Amino acid sequence: MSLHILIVDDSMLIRQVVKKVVRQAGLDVAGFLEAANGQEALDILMKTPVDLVLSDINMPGMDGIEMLMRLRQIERLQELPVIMVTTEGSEERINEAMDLGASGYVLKPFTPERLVEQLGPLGLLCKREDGVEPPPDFSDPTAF
Amino acid sequence: MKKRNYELLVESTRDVFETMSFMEVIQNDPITVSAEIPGIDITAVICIAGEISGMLGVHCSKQFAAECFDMMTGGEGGAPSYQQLCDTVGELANMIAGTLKRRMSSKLDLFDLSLPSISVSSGQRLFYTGAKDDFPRLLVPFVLANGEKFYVELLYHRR
Repeated sequence: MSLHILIVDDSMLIRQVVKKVVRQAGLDVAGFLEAANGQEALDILMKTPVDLVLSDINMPGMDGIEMLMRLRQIERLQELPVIMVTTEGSEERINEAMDLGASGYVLKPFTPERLVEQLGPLGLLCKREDGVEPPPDFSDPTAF
Repeated sequence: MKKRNYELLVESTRDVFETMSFMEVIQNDPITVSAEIPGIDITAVICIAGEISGMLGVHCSKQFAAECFDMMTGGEGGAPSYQQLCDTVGELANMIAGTLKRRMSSKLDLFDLSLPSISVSSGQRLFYTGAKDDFPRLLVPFVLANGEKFYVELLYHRR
């Protein structure tokens, strides 16, 4: 399945880096969508089909926690996989996100391996014809 | 300044760079600089508020910021704009502060972090109005393999 992935982060650089890491992680990507805060993300989600959201927490305007809370209130988005990609690593903040329905979290800075760990259980890694997930290509020394 | 906090700052900075795998950094001993830091064009600041309050800053040259941008994007980003250079230094500061926070307070939030603020000027230092004369202050120089320097500065006090 080719995925439409929404990346939510106020940093243009981090959105670029996340796209690079997602490709390295072996996902079959149909296209990327980008939002700079939670409100922009919700606006996109209301009118565009998305298969996966990778979202920062701390952003100006609507943050990632509020975005998560609001999108889980929309029936068709209740099962949408949302992974938080953030520097906010305290148990308190992580538990808050998970209680609100986050599918997982990745702490910045992160490796492609860490992203794969989160995506594996969601069944979003592309599979070969024999059903075995291909090994991600981590050979790039600039992997973030 | 407790030695442990210096170590946590150094570990957090190295962690950010090494996890990103783009540059090996070597830290020098913390220094005291009362005047301008030479070779600095960009400063990114994260404010710290809570049980511990203060500021964390990353000071670097435009050249350093451009190298980081290039390595982080794997060369896919093209020539960075002025805004992208600032964004890069801001995100470095953000990740170092976030990593430091996790290392200092894994269970409870000892402090919250602001979004990064970026300032472009030469030789900047940080000043914190909540500081007393003897408050902890660290300015740690780091050196890249190519000799390029950048600095991480931490000012804080505990309630």
